Amino acid sequence: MTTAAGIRWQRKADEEWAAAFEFHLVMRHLPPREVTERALAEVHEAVTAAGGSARDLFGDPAAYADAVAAEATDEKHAAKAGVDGVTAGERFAHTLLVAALIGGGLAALHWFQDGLWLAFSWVSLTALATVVTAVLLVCGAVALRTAGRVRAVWASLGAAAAAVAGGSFVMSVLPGQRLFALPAPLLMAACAALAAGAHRLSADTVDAWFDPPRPRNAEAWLRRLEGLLRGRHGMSRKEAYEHVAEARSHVREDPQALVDFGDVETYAAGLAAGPRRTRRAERRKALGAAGFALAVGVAGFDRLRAADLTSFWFWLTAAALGFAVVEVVRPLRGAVRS
Amino acid sequence: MTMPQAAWARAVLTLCLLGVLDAEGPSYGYALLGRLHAAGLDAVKPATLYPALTRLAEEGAVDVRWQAGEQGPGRKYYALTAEGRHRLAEQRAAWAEFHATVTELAGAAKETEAQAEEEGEGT
Repeated sequence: MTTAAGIRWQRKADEEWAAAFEFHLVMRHLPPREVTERALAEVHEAVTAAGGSARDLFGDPAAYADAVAAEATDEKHAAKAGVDGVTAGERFAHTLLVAALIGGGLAALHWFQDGLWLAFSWVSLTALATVVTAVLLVCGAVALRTAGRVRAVWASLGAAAAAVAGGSFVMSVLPGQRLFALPAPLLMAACAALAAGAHRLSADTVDAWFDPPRPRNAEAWLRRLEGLLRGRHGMSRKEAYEHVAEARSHVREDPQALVDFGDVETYAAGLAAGPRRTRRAERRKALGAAGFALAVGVAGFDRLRAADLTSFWFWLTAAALGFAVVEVVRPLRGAVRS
Repeated sequence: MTMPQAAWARAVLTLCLLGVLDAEGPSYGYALLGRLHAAGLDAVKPATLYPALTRLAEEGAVDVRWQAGEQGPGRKYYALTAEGRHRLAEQRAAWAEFHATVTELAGAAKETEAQAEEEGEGT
């Protein structure tokens, strides 16, 4: 007997085929449990209906396991990807990579502007630690949103804001005298190492960091569905609520039906795959760019207000802000056109 | 070889939903699923039904309306729109053509003719 509950094979040969198929599928490909159960159920149904043996109908169990896994891998990625087509792990690694490249670029600019040696004090060390913590928390928040964990997103953003506020306070009371100096290329090398590490991160491994526990009851499944629709697929609160209410209504009529809704990530991806997906993607892109514009505006407020046209940093901040504004307007125009 | 009914049911699900809504008027997910199962399309599950209904709603083929229930959030009713009727007419015609082609290629038409001839000779 295989592990798929409720399946009883009429013939010993079919049971052995199913055991070999399941062994190859699980040991070689480690798919979600639902994939194995669904594949075995389909084989059982076909064998029962057609009357032939599993080997006659599906061929070699290992080859069929490979085929099922290949199909499930695509399904799995599609189900885990957000409106922009990337998973939480890919998003985290990508955001970290971009942040590391920006950090390296800024270190290079300091080198050309202020010379080889970067002086560090307690204040600048605190500033560096604050920026690194805030960047990691914001990268985490972006990935948590793709993972469909809306509350955790706000917690992570709140922690980033608290880190900035706390760091600013600490910086205001610490002494500013010089402690030591490091060559700018060393900071650039650290950023390059971080970028290389982010590039080499396995998306599957990082996905697992952000995955919540598997829902164990109907309420948990419905909560997870709402989180995925809003966080991963960019639906409005009202739109997500309506889908959850419809599923809840169905399960209330038939409590056993939750099994037939299947994997919650796959179901959410199915609901979000319609023509409105493009508009949601454009809206999310615009929101991301608006967040970037806000961050640039806040960080460069003093430079922009001073409007020193001879300052390189003024022009850099203005260019970053202009780029962000264009990135806000472009998707909004696309959304209006669509 | 796998049994193809489940894949066929998924492929024609939209046509079946439009047909049921046209013939029987507005309905909700659970009732539509029961109707499809009663007609023999057991392979259709909520996991395929609701995404198909959502897509039809986003494409403007059906209208969505909530009707308050005695308890809880109520039921989401789907009703065919003019666009849905137009699409149903198109898909019905395409299906009839496709059905005739497949029946001919599968040899069922010849089988039926042969049976009719045998019956004619018998009488």
